[in-house]
Amino acid sequence: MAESRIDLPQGTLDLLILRTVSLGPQHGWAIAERVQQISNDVLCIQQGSLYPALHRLERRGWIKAKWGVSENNRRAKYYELTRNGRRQLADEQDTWEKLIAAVAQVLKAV
Amino acid sequence: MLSDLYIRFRSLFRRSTVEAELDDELRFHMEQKAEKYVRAGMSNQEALRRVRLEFGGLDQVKEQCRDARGVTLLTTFAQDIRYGLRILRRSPGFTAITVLILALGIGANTAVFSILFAVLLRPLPYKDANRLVVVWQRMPPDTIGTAFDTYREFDEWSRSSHSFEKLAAATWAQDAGAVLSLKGQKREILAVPASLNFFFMLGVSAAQGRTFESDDLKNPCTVVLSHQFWQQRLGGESGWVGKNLTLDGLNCTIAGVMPKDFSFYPKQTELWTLITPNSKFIRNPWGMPIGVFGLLKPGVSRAAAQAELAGIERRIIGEEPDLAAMKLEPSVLDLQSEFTWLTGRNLRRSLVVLFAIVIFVLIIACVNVANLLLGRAAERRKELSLRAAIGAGRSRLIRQLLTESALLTLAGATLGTVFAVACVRYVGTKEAAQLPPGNPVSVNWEVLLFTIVLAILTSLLFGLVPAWTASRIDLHESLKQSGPATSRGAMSQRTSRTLVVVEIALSLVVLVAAGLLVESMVRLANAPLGYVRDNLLTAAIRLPASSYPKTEDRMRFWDRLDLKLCSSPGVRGVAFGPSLNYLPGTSPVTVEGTRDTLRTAPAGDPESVGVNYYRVLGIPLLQGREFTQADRAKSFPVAIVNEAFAKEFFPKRSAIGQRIKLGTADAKDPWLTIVGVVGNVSHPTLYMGYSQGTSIYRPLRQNPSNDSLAVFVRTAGDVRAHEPDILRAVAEVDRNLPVPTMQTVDESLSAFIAEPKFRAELFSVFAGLALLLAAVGIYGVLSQLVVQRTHEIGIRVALGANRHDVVRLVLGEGLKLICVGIVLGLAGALLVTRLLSSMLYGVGTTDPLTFASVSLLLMTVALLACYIPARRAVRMNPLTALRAE
Repeated sequence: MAESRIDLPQGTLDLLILRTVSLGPQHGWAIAERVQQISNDVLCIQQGSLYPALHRLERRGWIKAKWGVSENNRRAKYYELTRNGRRQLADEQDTWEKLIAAVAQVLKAV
Repeated sequence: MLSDLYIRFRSLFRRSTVEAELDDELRFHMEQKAEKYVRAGMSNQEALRRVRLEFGGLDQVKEQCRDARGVTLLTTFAQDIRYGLRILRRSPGFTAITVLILALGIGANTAVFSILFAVLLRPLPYKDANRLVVVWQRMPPDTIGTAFDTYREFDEWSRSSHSFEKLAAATWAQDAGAVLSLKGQKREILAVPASLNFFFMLGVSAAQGRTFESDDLKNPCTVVLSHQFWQQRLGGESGWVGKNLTLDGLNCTIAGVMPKDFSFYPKQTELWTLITPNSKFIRNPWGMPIGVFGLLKPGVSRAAAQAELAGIERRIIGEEPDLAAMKLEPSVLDLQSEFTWLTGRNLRRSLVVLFAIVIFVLIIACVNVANLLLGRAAERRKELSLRAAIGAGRSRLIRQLLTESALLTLAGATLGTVFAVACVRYVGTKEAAQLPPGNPVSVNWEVLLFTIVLAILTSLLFGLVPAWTASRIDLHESLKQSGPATSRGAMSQRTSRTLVVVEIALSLVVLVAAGLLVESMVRLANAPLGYVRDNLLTAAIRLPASSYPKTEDRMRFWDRLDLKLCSSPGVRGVAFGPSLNYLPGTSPVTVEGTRDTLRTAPAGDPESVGVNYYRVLGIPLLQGREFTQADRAKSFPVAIVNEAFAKEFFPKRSAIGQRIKLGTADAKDPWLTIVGVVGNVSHPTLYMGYSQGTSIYRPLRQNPSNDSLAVFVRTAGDVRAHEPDILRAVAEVDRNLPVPTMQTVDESLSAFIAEPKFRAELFSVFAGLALLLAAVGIYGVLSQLVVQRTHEIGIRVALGANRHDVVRLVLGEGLKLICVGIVLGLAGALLVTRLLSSMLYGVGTTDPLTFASVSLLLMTVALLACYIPARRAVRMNPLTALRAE
């Protein structure tokens, strides 16, 4: 399992978080699990970087936090996308797609 | 960006809530994860262990979250402060010395700046102060006016000029005093006659009552009192407004009392009297010297106003041919600069130089503290390394060290401000320094702002270098070292040596400046003045015109006083003449030349002297004879001139028997025959030094203007013991005269020496401070050197080096620094002392003797400071020394 994991390239963590949260309010644990699950365990978010990133995004106003009750009846902090965050997500997604398309093209051509 | 602000705020002010939330959030995550592992079949305990391992340092994650929220800067600042305080408390000796050094440096700067600010920077506390000017008369080629105007000119200017919103006049020219009769006592006070709109022009009003109003012109005499006069003479009781005071026998109505903080030149003015249509100013307008002050109309330049006034003056000057012959021109000057100039000819420059000097002292203090900090950084190297090892970045370490510096500065600045307030109080109460009227000196918020800025600069200045050096930590190296962490890197050694050189150089500059000023002051005080100063008492006596209207009355008074005084026991001689502080004017004199040529040139106002004047004062008679009783009003008119006059007008022949005339050739005065030539007398000037101009003396009996004279009494033995006898003699001749103030001649001269003396004292204090700091600095560096080289010294001693070698090793190191510092300092001093040129008397700005002796002094003190660590090195036991590392 460990061999197939890829460290996240710089700057992609924000994008993943924003994308995951865009489906609905999530707590940090769920975000990490969701990313890992969807990517078939290839992408693994280190907890050490997840929470600082969440707090940073909150400070920028792209996500907002509120306390809620988790599936197993525990108090948990839920993050959801703000309007600014939605715009930011669209921007970043766009940039990302352009980037990989361009990189792919270069890789194919050479 | 509201969310940003909100989060920062919340992080800062709801810290505990935010921290608890962060805890909850992270714990939730860990529990979820543990649950997941348990579900996968792990035991509870193992799951928890696994989670913790995966999570990494929980505290680091938290720290990163705090960082992400933007809290750290402030919280770490608070941490730094707490930590810094703890560190400083742990070494009270170091902290106390540092704070004291900084307090002296910052305090000196705050005190000097508060004076500088009040005198030079802050506008005068009058309305539209930037448009206020003074008009003097100047004598070309002088570019600056120094002489009074006359009332006639003031009158005409007020009528015809268009440059001014308001023009006012006030005068403190000779005889501005008045005799106050109060509660049966008579006293001479400083009463300044002022024109109706004087206060109005300044835009100030009275604290009680009112200032002058036009209705007052109908009354014979109206006065406005100064706060000080009201306090001291009238006991500060209310109800004086509207009452009367007797001044020169006139009944004067008190119109009002000025506020406490109002002052004008001269600062000691006790009251202002209104110039009325009946006064001597109006009766004799060309004979009354007066100062003219004006409020320029907005947009009118001083030059334009000056040109206009000159035109008006030219139109009327023909009315007074003698004055016209002097070819004076009006000169319009800024009032504030003029106040500064009037108060001290060098005041502006002294303040600026003084400010530079205290900045030097502060730099020296900073250098010293920087050195102390460098030394401490060496001691703290292990602690800093440890902090670096557990994750503190370099910038974090620098921030911590700078915080400590800032704390030291804060304490230093606070204590320094207390010093400064005390100094300013002292200057204020003792009038130790003659400061111009206007703004009182105080440590106000502008000054405090200056102190704060200064403190910030200071802490950067002395904190940055040590912090930079100390934070450069090679973890591997410094943690490996197990011995006492005393040695310091070559880098910081070099830095502190450079600092010591700078310190020595700067203190030499300060010392040279102080040395030159002290030397001038000593020379000024001991300059030969042309007469003998020992056991000579003097008092100025003015005979009021009301009781002594005629020349003969006045002559009778002087004769009777002479007789009375001569018969007092212990009196060896009595003489009458002008006050020695009185600088004779430069009125024109016509000299009869050979072959019927006449020469008219500015030479001097005649000085009336009594018969024994030269003998009693000890002025040498060079040629001819003194005045005798035979030189009477009706006898042949004679004069005595001084050597300077004889050299100027009769360079090739004897002055005896030559004829001169006061004023121009066609003046009504009689021709005077010169019967004697006497030595020059030095008169103190308001500039630094004495003037030895040309003088003309007239016998008292032949000169009608003899209403105001100084009496000189030469006594045997203690001068002061004769004071009551003399006062009694004056009272016996005329009980109605105000009690004169007796002074020894030295005392009467002291006012002229006061300013240079105060300046020399002030500079000496700062120079002493600089010297002390430099000595402490070099001592500190060499002590560290000795500690650092303990091992080496031990080896040398073990190998047979004797005491001398060790002393030479340490002193040699010190001497190198001292010499480099002194050479640099001498170069700096040569540049700086040029600024002092106008404040020196009898020494040049590059006086080799002063430069040499001051360098020697500095070298001696510095070597002494080196000797202590050197002795310590010698006393070291080679065994312990070798074991030291």
